[in-house]
Amino acid sequence: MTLFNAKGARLHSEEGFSFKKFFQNKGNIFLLIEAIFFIWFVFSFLIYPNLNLFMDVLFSGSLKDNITKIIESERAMKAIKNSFILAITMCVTVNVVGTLVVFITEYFKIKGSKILRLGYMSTMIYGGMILVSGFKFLYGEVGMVTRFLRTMMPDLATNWFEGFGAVLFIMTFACTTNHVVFLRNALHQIDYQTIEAAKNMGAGTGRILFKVVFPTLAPSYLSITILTFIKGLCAMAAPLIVGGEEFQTINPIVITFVKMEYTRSLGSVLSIFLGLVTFALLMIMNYMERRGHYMSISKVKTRIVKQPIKNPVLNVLMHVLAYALFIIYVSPLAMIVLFSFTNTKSINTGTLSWDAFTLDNYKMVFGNPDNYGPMLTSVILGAVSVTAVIVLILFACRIITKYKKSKLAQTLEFSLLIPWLLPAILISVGLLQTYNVEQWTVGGAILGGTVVILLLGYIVNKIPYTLRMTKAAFYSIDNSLEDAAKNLGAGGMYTFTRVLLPIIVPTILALWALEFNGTLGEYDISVLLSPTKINTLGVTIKTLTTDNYDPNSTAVSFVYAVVMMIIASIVVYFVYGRKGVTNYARKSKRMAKHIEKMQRLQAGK
Amino acid sequence: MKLKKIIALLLAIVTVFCMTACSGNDNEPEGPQAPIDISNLTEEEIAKYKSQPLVVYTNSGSGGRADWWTKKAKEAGFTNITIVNGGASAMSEKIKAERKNPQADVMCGLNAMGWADLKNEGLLLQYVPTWAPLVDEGMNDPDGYFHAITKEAILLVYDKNTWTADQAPKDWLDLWQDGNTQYHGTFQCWSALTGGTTQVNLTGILHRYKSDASDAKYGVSPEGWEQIKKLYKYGVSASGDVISAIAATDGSQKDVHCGQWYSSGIKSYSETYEVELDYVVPEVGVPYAITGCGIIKGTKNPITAALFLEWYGSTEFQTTWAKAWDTAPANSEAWEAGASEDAKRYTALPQQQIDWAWAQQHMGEWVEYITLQFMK
Repeated sequence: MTLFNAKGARLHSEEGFSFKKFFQNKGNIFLLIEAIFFIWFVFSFLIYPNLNLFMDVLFSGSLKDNITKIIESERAMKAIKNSFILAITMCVTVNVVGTLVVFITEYFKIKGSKILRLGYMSTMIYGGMILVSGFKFLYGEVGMVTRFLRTMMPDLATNWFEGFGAVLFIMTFACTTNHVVFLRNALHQIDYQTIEAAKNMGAGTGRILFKVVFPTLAPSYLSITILTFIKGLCAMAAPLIVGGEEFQTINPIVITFVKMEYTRSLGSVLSIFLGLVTFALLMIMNYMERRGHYMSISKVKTRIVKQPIKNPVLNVLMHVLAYALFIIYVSPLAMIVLFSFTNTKSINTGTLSWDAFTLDNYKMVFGNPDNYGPMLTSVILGAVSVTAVIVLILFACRIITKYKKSKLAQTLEFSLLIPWLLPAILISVGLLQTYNVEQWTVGGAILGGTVVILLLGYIVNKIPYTLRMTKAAFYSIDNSLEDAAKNLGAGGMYTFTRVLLPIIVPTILALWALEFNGTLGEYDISVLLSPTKINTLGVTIKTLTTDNYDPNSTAVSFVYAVVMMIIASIVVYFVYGRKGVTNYARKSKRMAKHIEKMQRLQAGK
Repeated sequence: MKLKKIIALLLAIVTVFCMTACSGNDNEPEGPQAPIDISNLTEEEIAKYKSQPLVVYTNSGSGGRADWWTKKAKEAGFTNITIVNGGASAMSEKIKAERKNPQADVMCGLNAMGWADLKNEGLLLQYVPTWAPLVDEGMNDPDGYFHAITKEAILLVYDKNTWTADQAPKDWLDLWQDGNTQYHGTFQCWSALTGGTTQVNLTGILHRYKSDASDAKYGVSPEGWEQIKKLYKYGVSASGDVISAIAATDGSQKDVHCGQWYSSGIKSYSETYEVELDYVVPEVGVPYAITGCGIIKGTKNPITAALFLEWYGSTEFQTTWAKAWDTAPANSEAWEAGASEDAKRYTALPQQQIDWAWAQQHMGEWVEYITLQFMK
C-alpha cells in the first residue's frame, strides 16, 4: 500500500514512483517538509531530552524494587485506588453536571440564560488551590455554609465537608470547563433541521435528546470524558485540602517524590504508570473514533432554536436547578474576591469581621511598579507559546486525521502525547540538562539561558491537551465539505485556511483562551527554564507569597489570584464577546453555503 | 512506497547521529578551577571586577528582600548584578541541571542539607571569605565550600492559653508517648516532608536515634522509627501552617495547640493571628537552620563572585540586613550589632548538635519511608 494513500497526496502505487512526478506536485513537497519538521521536532524536544533522564530515572533504582516498594505501601495502594475511584466517578458526575449546564444555557429556554452562562463559565478563569480555597471558605470547618447549617443542625460535625464526597463535589464543579467550551461548540454545530424532522415525526424531548442530539455529540463526549478521567487521576489540590485522612490520592505523592533526587525514580515509575493508563484509554478512544460513523455537521446549517420545556412542573424544576447550579459556581469565586480585601488572619481562619477589610494587599501589589513587569512578561510569553502550540498542532492534526491509517501518522500522534507520561518538572529538567550545552539537534546552539527554552517548555507541556481537543474538532468536519471545495478547484492550502479552519475556529479560540489562562501563573516550568533576565508572574507570585517571614503573604496571593482572574476574563471576553466566536461561526457558515451553491450550479450545468 | 523508504532512511540517519552525539556528551568539560585569591588586588582592580556581570541565585529574596539587596549591592559597586529568585529546591535543581554550562555565579540561601548536597555533587568552588572566622563554630563548611549567613532556631511552640509552662510538654517526644493522653490530638503531624523547616525538625528528632547497628534502618534505630509511628498515630493532619491552625482552633474539631515554627516568624505571626505563643527547649537543645552562600563551580567571574561573598557576609552589610529584616546573622559581630532583642533571645538557645552530612545522606530515604509507611 502507499504510505499516503488518502486523496491529498495523489500518490498512486499503480502509477509507479518517479522523483520528478513526486516533486512536481506542490502538495507532496509540502507534505515532505511537514514530515521532516515533525520528525525533527518530536525527536529533538519530546524524545531526546527525556531519553537520558528517562533511562537514568527509571533504571537508577531497580524497577522491581520500586514496584515492590509501592505494592508494600498500604498508603500508596490506597491512594492509587482512591485516584481511580475519583477518576471513574468523575466521568459520570462531570458529564452529568457539564451536560446540564450546557443544555440549560444553549438548548432549553431558560430565563436569564446569559447571566447563567457567565456563572457556569467561571471555572475558565481560575482553578487549583485558589478554587479549592474558595470552596473551603463556604463549606470548610468555619465556612459560612457550615456555620449556617450548624445553626439548624447543631449536631453536624464541623468537618462534614471532608473526604471522598467533598473532593468529588469540588472536582465535579471545577472540571466542567471542557463541557462549557467544547460541548457548547459542538452543540452549535448540530443541524437544527434534524431536530425539526424528528419533532415532525412525533418524537418527544427525551427521544430527540437521546436519539438525535447526544449521538451527534459523541466525539466531543469521548474527548471530554478522557480528559475528565485524567484530571481525576491527577487530582492534587482538592484531595490535599479536603480529602482528609480517608481520601488522599496518588498525585501529591508523585510530586513529592519527583521533587527529591533520591525518590525521583520511584516518583517516575508511579507517574509513568498513570501515564500508561491514560495511553491505554486513548487507544480505546482512538479506536472508537475511527470506527464510529458520526453525524457530521451539515453544510447548510440552521441555527439551533432553544426548546421550551412544555411540562410546567419540569420547567419550574429546571429553573430552580439552573439557579442553584449558578450559585454553586459563582459563590467560591465571590469568596476569593471578598477575601482578597481582608487580612491574612481572616483568610487562613476563614472568618470575616468589618475591621478585617483592608486595601493594603492591593496597595502592596499595585504600589510597586516592579510587579507590573512580570505580568506583561507572562502575558507575552503566554500569547506566543499558546499561538505556537496551536499552529503546530493544527498541522499535526491535519496529518493525523487525513492519513488515519498511516503508521507514521499514528506514530506522530502518540509521540506528541509523550508529555502526558511525565510531570512538567521532569520535562523541564530534561530540556534544561539537554539544551544548556551546544546541541547538534538545534544546529549547535545553546538554548539554555535564552527565552527559546522557556517557550519550548511551555509548548511541549501544552501539546497533548491541545492535540486531543483539536483532533475532536477535526472529527466534526464533514469530509464531503473538503471534497466539494477540492472539486471546485480549491488548492489544499486554500481549502484548509478558507473552508476547514473557519469551522474549527471557535474551538481553536476557546483552546487559546484556556491554555493562555493556564500559563499566566505557571511556576514549575518557569522557575527552571527562565533566562536570568526574565521574571515571570508565576515565579514572582511564588517568591512573594511563600515568604516564611511575612505573614501577609497569603493575602497577597489572593490579590494576585484576582489579578489573574481579571486578565483571564479579558481574554475570555475577547473570545466569547461580540466579535469572537460568533463572528467566525457566521463566516464559516457563509463559506459552507457558498460552496453548496456553487455545487448546485455545477450540477445544473 | 518510496516516500516511506526516504523517511525511514532519514530516521535511521537521525538515530545514528544521536548515538554518536549522546556518547560524546557524557564527559564533563569542567576541569579544576584555580583557587581564588583577591588579597593582592588594587582599589582600581576591585572596582573593575565588581562591575563585571554577576548572577546570583537565591531563595531568600522573598517579600521584597531581593529588590532591597539588589539596590544595596549596586550601591556597593556591583553594578552589573542580576538576582534570580525561586524556591529552594527549584534553585538547587536549576544549578544541577545547568552543571555543564553554569548560569549562576553565586548561590545564597538554602540550608545545611541543601549545601551539603551541592558540595557532594561537586558544584561548588572553594573560597573562604575573610569573615568566616566570625561565624559560630560548626556552621561553616570545614572544607571551605560554603559559609553561613543567618541562623534561626526551629522550635516547638504552643498556645499559652492552653497550657502553662508547667503543663506544656518538655520535648517533642512527650507529645506522642502512650501515657501522655493530654497531648494526643493536640499537635499537627506533617502532611508533606518537602519543606525546609520540616526536614530540619525531622532531623532533630531522628538524630537522637542515629545508629549504625545492624537493626538500624536508614541510619536510624528501630526505636526512632517507633517515635515516628506514634507521631502519626497521635497527631492531627490539618492542612495549612501551625499558627493559623492554632488561631482557627476555636470552633474546629481539629484542635491544634502546638507545632513546629521557626524563631524569626514567631513575633510577626503571633501578632498577625492574635495568638500568644510560648516555646519549649528540650534538653538536647534545639535544631538550628542556617542559610549560607557559596560560589558555583564553573563561574566565569570567580573574582567578582569572591568580592560579592566578602561584601554579602561582611559585618557591615549583615548588620544593616538584620536591622532591616529582623534576621539573626551567623556573623557574630553583626549579630551583636544588628539583631533585635527577640532574635538574640531565640538564637542564644542551646544548639542541638547535628551531623548534617548524615542527615543529607539519608533524607531521601526518610522522606520515602515515612511517606509510604507512616503518613496518613
